[in-house]
This record gives sequence, structure tokens and C-alpha cells, in this order.
Amino acid sequence: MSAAAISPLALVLLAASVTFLWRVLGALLASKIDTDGALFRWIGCVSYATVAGLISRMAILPTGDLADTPLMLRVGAVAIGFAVFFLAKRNLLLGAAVGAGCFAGGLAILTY
Amino acid sequence: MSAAKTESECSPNRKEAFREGVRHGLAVPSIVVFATMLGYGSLAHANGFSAFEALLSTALVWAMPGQVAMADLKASGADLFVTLLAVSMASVRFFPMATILVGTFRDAVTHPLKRIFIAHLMSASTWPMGMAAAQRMNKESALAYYWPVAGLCITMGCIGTLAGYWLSADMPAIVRLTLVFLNVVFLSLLFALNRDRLVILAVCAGAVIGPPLHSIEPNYGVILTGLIGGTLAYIILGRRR
Repeated sequence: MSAAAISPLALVLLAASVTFLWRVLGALLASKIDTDGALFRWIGCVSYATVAGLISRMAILPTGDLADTPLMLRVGAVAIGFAVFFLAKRNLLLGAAVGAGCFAGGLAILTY
Repeated sequence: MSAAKTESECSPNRKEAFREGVRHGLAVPSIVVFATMLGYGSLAHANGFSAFEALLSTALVWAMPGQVAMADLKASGADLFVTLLAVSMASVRFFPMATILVGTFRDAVTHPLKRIFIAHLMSASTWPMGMAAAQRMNKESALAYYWPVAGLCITMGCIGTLAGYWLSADMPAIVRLTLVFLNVVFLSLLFALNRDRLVILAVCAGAVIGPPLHSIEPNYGVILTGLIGGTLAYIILGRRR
């Protein structure tokens, strides 16, 4: 069954439940387990790789309206955002603003 | 004795800690949260959620990667099971994070529901702030600091979601596309904030194999990416500490 087959509200509630589960489990087991152990390190790796894979796919193979924008523009804007972020001593807001600004500027030039 | 004296001299009382929490909560973190959720609100609009559902997802999921996974996978036509598994995998890092944060506050909070509430308000920005406060204040004051910081961040996140949603509805295509693209920029920069080599390797592995795996296996690609990329990073750098 596709995720689009159930109502968006039901999807939101289910997504909230599967997230809440981890928070509750953590809160209830607080300081009873070794969070620096091998299992947790592996869990952390899987979690970060999942999200990183999703984001990189959204940049390179996006769905929806973003799919109609040029690949080079998307990748270039992220790269410029990264460059500004590191040049500005890891300033998240500035990096994101410049990255998004380049994307908007590029789109404006291509559209007109 | 002298250690206790030093702590009571240096540590602000609960009222002072609360005021500091309000000041810090209104500063950079809540602006960042507002801006990231602006992008998420637009994505939710583009992918067919109502304003109420978008708001509810921010208030109840309160984890941007998981929310973006939910909205994106719904639109890309993935299975419900795959979507929920991906959201769950994106959020599993809250398990160790909650264990550590709630464990830090365990003497100040005994009621289990209150402990769960601490864990629910936890995010990438409020977790380090709560942990840092617990280092420099006594636990009661640190908790009095955490509540306004975390409460203001989630409130700003909800406002940002609605703002992004409504901006998307009325703005020209360039603004809508840029706001959706903001999700990609913000989440990749959030990764770049991390300095742990193991995390950086896991992120790089996932980012590299994500798109090709999606092309080969559009449905389970995101799950396989997490399992293969994460395990690979763990084998290379994670087995020894």
C-alpha cells in the first residue's frame, strides 16, 4: 500500500508515533544503558546515512516541481551554500540564505 | 563542602535560569528553526498536506529530517511501510539522545510523563543547549532554563511551518521552488555542523549511494541506503572508540 493511499492526517499521526516511540524509549531507559556502546554507534550511523541519502536524492533526483529545475543549479547552489558556511565559520543561517539565494537567482535568470 | 559552595555561588537560581532560557530561546536557535520549518511548510504544501496537517506534523513529529522524509516519500509514491520505516530510521537517533538528556535531568524530574515531555521537546538545537546548561548550573535551574528554550523553539517551528505553507500558496513559482529547495540546503548544512568523524563518514556514505540505489530500487532505496551506508561507516570507523 502506498503512503499516498491513506489520508495525510493518518500519515502524520503514524509518522508522529514512530518518532515518539524512540523518544519514549529513551526517556524510560534514561541512564540505564550505555549510549556509547557498539549498538548505539551503529544505530547512529544508520540514522545519519538514511537522512543523508534522502537529502542527496532530493538534490539530485527530486520529485515534484523541483524535478523541472536544472541539476547543475541545484548542486551548484548547495555547493555555494557549503562554501559560504565554512568561510563564515560554520554560520548556518548565512550558508542557507546564500545557497537558497543563488538557487532563486539562477532560476530567475533562466526563466526570464 | 567547598564544591557545593562553588556550585551554589555560580549556579543561577531557577528564576534567573528561566529568564536566561527565554533570552536564549528567542535568539539564533529559534530563528534557525523558524527558517528550516519555513521550507518544510512549503514542502508540505507542495506535497498535498493541509495547513493543519503541516502544523500537526511539526508539533507532533518535531524532527525535521523525519518530517521531510514523510512528505517527500508520500509524494514519490513509496509504500506506507517504507515511508514509516524511513521516518523511524531518521528519528532513531532520538533514542540515545533522550537517554542521555533525560538521564542528566533524572534527579530533577521524577514523573515519567514529564520525562517523556523533555524527550519530546528535544531537537538538534535544544539538546545541546539543555546539556550545556546542565554542565554549568544545578539540575533544577538547568531544567528551568530548558523549558522556555525548548518551548520557544517548537513554537517558532510551528509558526514557521504555517508561514512557509501560506507563503507557498500565494507566492510566484520561484519563491515556492526556493522554499522547497531550502529543505535540501538546510539539512545538508546541518550535517556539516557535525564534527564527529564517524557521523561525517556515515553522512558521506549515505549521500553517495543514495541516488544510485534509488534509481535501482525506487521503493526500498532509502532503507537500503541507510542500512548499507551506515553499516559501511560503522565497519570502517565505528568498531573501535
